[in-house]
Amino acid sequence: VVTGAAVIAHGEPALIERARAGDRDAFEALIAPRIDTLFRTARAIVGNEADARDATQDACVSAWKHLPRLRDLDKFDAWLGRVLVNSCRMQLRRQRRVREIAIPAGFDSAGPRETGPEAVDGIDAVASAFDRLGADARALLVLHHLRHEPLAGIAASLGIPVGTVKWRLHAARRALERALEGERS
Amino acid sequence: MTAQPRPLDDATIEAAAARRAGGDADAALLTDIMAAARTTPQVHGWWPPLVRSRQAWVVLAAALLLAAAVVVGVGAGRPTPPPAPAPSAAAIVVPPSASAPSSPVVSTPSPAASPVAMCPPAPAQVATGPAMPPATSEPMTVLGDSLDLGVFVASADIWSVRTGAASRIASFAGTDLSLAQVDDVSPDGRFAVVELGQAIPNSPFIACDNLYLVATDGTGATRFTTFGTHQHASDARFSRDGRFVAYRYDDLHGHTPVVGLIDLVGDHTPRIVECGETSMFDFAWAPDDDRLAMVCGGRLDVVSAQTGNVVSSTVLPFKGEIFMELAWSDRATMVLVTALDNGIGVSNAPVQLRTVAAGVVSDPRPVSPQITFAGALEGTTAPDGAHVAVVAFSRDQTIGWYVIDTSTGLAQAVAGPGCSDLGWSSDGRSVVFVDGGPARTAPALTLVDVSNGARHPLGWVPAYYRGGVFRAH
Repeated sequence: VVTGAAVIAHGEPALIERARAGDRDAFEALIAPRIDTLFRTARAIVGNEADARDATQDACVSAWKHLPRLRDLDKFDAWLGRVLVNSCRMQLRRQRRVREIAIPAGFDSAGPRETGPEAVDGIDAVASAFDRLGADARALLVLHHLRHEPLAGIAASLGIPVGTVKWRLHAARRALERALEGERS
Repeated sequence: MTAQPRPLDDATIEAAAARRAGGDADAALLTDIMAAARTTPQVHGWWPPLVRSRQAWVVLAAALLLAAAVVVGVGAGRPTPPPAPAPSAAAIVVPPSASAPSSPVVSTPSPAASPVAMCPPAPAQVATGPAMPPATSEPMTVLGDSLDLGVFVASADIWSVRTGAASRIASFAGTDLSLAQVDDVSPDGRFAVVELGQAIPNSPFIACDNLYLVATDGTGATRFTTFGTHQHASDARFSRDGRFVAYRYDDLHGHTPVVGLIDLVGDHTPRIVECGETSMFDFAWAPDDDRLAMVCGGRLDVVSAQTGNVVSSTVLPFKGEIFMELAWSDRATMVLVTALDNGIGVSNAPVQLRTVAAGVVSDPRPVSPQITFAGALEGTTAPDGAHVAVVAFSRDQTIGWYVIDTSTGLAQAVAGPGCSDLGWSSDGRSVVFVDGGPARTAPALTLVDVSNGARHPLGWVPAYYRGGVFRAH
């Protein structure tokens, strides 16, 4: 897993400079090693492959378009991460109007429902419960638990104290726990 | 007493996030990205390359300090000039058709943030009239008189157009341009509700989304939600009399999505209507009064916007259906557009209609000719409720916009892939949309007569177009 605070490899500032000046080959060289991380992050946030592809593509094209406005080369990865999460959020906005209807308890005429922890894969249930969270809660959990961003790094990028990040992460986890209860009920 | 949820451990969340992340991207994704980048021009800032270096900024700062010292020295002892007059931001006038509320009831405490929790670093700014900075986009020109009204965002400008050249009605700053969106236009055409999102600088997070009311004649704009960090309002829609605005609201505090309500005639206090423990998927205003229908998980609730009371609640006793669109076909009947997930895959899920009236849910009725669910895209309903437009696949898997007659179930293709921002005429006989099909050099505003399928080009949308709301005569 490449962290969001990935150290820019030797020679990358020159690549960013070239891409900023309109060199598409340089931009491709920048994006290629990051594409898997970007896609996996997007997929964890939006929850499906098709939307993750769209979000990743939108983010990369937006990054290409606005790269000339990036002044601090050291912030490239953090900036690209922000662009990606924004794209995921926009994708989720489009998604929100098309969702599968939840089935109220008692309307399954096919027979008794399986219940209990043995009936469902716990990890699958938690993964599914992400869909009940807002975009920011998803992003916070994904950055922390998938990309292993340190709290201090998240705090720095948010411009808020570490304690606030902890509180928000706690709130997101609580929301996930409540969502999981909803998945299991 | 509510049971406490079981706590989750780090390893489970990590494994769940990894499972959601799935595998790596395929090679085609990078190819697609570079193909798009090859046709996308870069946007350059105002600073020349020389000024991009840190040394140059140090020199520039020193020069500015020196200049400031000179100005202070020269100006010492002179009277302070009077402040420039504040821009005349016209107050928003409520729609004349709306009557004063008798006794509005606040059903739920407002989720509005206190001013101290305002979006950092400051709320987005919307300027109108002489206070607007120079335009950052070009006007579009609409041919003929078929368009009743269009309000759209291009770059950092908001434009309004009926026929001929568009007029710039507002300009915004302090927001990421990709987070600006025109959500709806009031029934009388006098106001647009615009959603402006703000991101925290150098952060991967969008901080908040707030709603603004913008006069379509360019005479004023005002923000009418005051949401703070991690509070988001989106997808705002006017009631049919223009008195209320309903919108989606969500935050970082574990709430399931809820509907927010603002009474533009009353005290403007945001209220929220919660679905309970389940998610809310869609909402739609009634055609004749201030009732709001909401699909809440497995229920269809109708709420009075004036009182906040639930007027009716109907259980949707079906499963395996994918929700697509909610519409009112008349004052007593609602239509649900769903797709039957037959297990083969959502792209093979046939679209069907159900009606809900007096608490009775009809059996599903297949749409003909058969079209299938196309994924996470939006639908829209004609003002008279006689037709619903959805995005779906035809039998040969071609994606496009289809208009469905809600009484007969007949489906008709009106627009191909790459089309967006579809709006209706008031009589439901024509649709207008932005056609961004791959064969075009620039997206075109296009009108289609639903009765015979005739297409009428209305003009090209401008560069940096970011979406809008259009409706035909």
